[in-house]
Amino acid sequence: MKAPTEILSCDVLVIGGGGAGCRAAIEAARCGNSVILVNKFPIGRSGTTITAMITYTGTMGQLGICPDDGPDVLFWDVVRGGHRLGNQDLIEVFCRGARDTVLELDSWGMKWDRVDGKFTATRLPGQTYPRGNHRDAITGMMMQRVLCEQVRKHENIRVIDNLMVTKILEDAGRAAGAVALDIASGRFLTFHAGSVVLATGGAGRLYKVTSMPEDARGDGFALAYRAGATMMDMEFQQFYPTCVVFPTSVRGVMVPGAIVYPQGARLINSLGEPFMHKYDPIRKEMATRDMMSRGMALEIAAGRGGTHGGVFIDCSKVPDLVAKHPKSFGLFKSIGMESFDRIEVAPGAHFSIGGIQINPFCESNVPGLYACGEVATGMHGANRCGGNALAETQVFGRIAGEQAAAFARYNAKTDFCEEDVDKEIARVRSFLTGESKETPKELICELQELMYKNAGLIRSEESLLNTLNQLVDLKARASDVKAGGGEKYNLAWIDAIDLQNMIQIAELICVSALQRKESRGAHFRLDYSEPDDTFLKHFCITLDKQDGRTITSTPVIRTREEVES
Amino acid sequence: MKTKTIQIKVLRQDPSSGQEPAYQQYTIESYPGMSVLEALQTVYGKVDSTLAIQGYACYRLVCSLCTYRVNGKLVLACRTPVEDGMVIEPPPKRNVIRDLATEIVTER
Ligand SMILES: Cc1cc2nc3c(=O)[nH]c(=O)nc-3n(C[C@H](O)[C@H](O)[C@H](O)COP(=O)(O)OP(=O)(O)OC[C@H]3O[C@@H](n4cnc5c(N)ncnc54)[C@H](O)[C@@H]3O)c2cc1C
Ligand code: FES
Repeated sequence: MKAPTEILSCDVLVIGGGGAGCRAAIEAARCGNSVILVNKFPIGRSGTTITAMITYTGTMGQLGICPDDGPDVLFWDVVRGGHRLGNQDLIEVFCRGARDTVLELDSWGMKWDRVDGKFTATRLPGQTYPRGNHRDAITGMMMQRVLCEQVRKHENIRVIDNLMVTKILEDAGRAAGAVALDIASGRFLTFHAGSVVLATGGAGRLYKVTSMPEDARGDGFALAYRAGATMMDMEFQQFYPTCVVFPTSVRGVMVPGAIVYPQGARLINSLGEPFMHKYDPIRKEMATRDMMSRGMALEIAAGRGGTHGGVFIDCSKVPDLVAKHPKSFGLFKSIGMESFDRIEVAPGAHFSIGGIQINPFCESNVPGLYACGEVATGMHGANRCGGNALAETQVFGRIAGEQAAAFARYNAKTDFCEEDVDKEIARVRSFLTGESKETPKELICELQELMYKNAGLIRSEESLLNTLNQLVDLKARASDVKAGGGEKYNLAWIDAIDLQNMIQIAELICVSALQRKESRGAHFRLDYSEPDDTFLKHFCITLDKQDGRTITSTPVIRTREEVES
Repeated sequence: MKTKTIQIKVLRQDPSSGQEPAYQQYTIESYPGMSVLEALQTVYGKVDSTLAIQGYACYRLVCSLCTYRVNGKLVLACRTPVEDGMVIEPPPKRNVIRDLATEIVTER
């Protein structure tokens, strides 16, 4: 039976309505194009942008409190923070654009925190000057709110919620639209678009412990990869050191270490001993995220962790926790945590550094396919500095929108093949009929355990090959998985579709991580525990015609001579 | 870890089916510190994968998509400890898609 599908036409299709997607849609609409913005869940109330609490890399120079700061200082911070692996053409664009996006959001009603008219800013590790602008402790939520308001103001943007894109359609190697499932009704929509912007965010949910929300499953990586886009730096996944592991109802919620340690909090192992001095003798608990996470993971691997796989943070000496941190300690208290003297924490996946390879025009290698925000990659290198991700969504969201609009204007729309649509709908619908022993959710949990244990913070050739082996088995079981429950808002159906994507991304991560026989930034190999500059290059993976993977390497793009290090 | 077997009741419905909404009772293992959200996710994950709840969760008091009516009161499920005998319904005045999944109208 042929499933009913409605065809919608537009110039620019934007997939994902977080910070990056909203900004892209606004820019494309300003260029006069008809835009459709689709989001898997209710826009403004989902995605990762709303969960970001504090810092937005912004003020530089006269607007703030550090007049000596500027794009050039920021440039070297990003280069060094990324362990020299970031593509400098993108970093240039970022550094020149970040400050203006603060002013733009301000003009849209963001109301950044200020003192005497000057922007106040937090200084984060790796940033030479305080430049993390904020708005109370809800920066991301406020950003998303003003962006949604702007989206609403443009009559040529149509927003569709609860719509999950499952395939990017192509014509002769060019992006031509997409197939999407309307989660509420179970019906399919087909988009015929002049160009497509992917802004679907990261994939932290590949790992059992993650600070990222439930929809950070990396759909966009799989969509792009299957459409022929080059995936780069997939081995780099940033972890945030102190995420709660128990009670599981707050698993992943971050304990703000850098704030509580100076106030007397201690990080200890199951024997009650501090341990960070062993891994970072000088900075100890104030080490950078990558070093903290690595130290904690090694301590846990050495058998000095708790029953839920974490170490402990003792905050009993820190005053006013509940009042000052309602969304972490306040939350812990309300679900019944009685004291904060032994909170079990472990590193959680926090930001997907790798992703779709883009150039400074946000173009992927597939004509007509653009990417921005966390789903794209290139500027962060081996490690992302705090505050840069939110600003990245705005700097590159604007460019992606503008470029996608131009592409749609100057290139006549092509037709996708209807057979591809039918095939995709049949693939997605195949999970609906029949029965399976295992549920999609069970397999997702199994994948998350596997990735966290073997391909997360501590990797080795053995653990990665072992994971790839287990992924073969998981993939076979996943392809048979069934989702009873009908067509309407069937979570098991969404899980079944997501599961296939997640396994595909997991494979890319492992394959890429095997190539990088060194340790750098977020990527740590037990068998090659030091950095090795012969690996100052990117690994890229593309899907070839035989459904196989082609792995290549490409040099780091440099625009400036390195001065003193 | 001390676990306890508890029962919760969930109001289920599919407005397009023509059938009246009905309560369904579920039995799960709970532990001190389990939230209503985790309890519902446990039902979906381990007991009955046909139960529909909102598919997104931030788990940290940001999205408010976990707003349900629990024992007659509107609560955020991610911050409310689950208790034996709890009755969980969709928030009133919202269009129900299915079970606890409702339409979220963002004005635009
Ligand atoms: C807890 C936390 C705190 C953070 N704090 C900071 C901070 O202080 N400063 C900072 O700079 N960065 C921070 N970050 C990182 C930053 O928030 C993110 O990198 C950034 O918001 C990503 O924005 P985005 O627009 O790319 O993706 P998102 O905001 O995640 O938006 C992507 C959207 O795409 C949708 N989508 C996914 N798949 C599909 C599909 N198949 N079809 C349709 N739609 C789809 C999703 O539902 C989602 O709404 C933090 C991250 C976390 C997890
Ligand atoms: S899950 Fe987001 S507020 Fe409860």
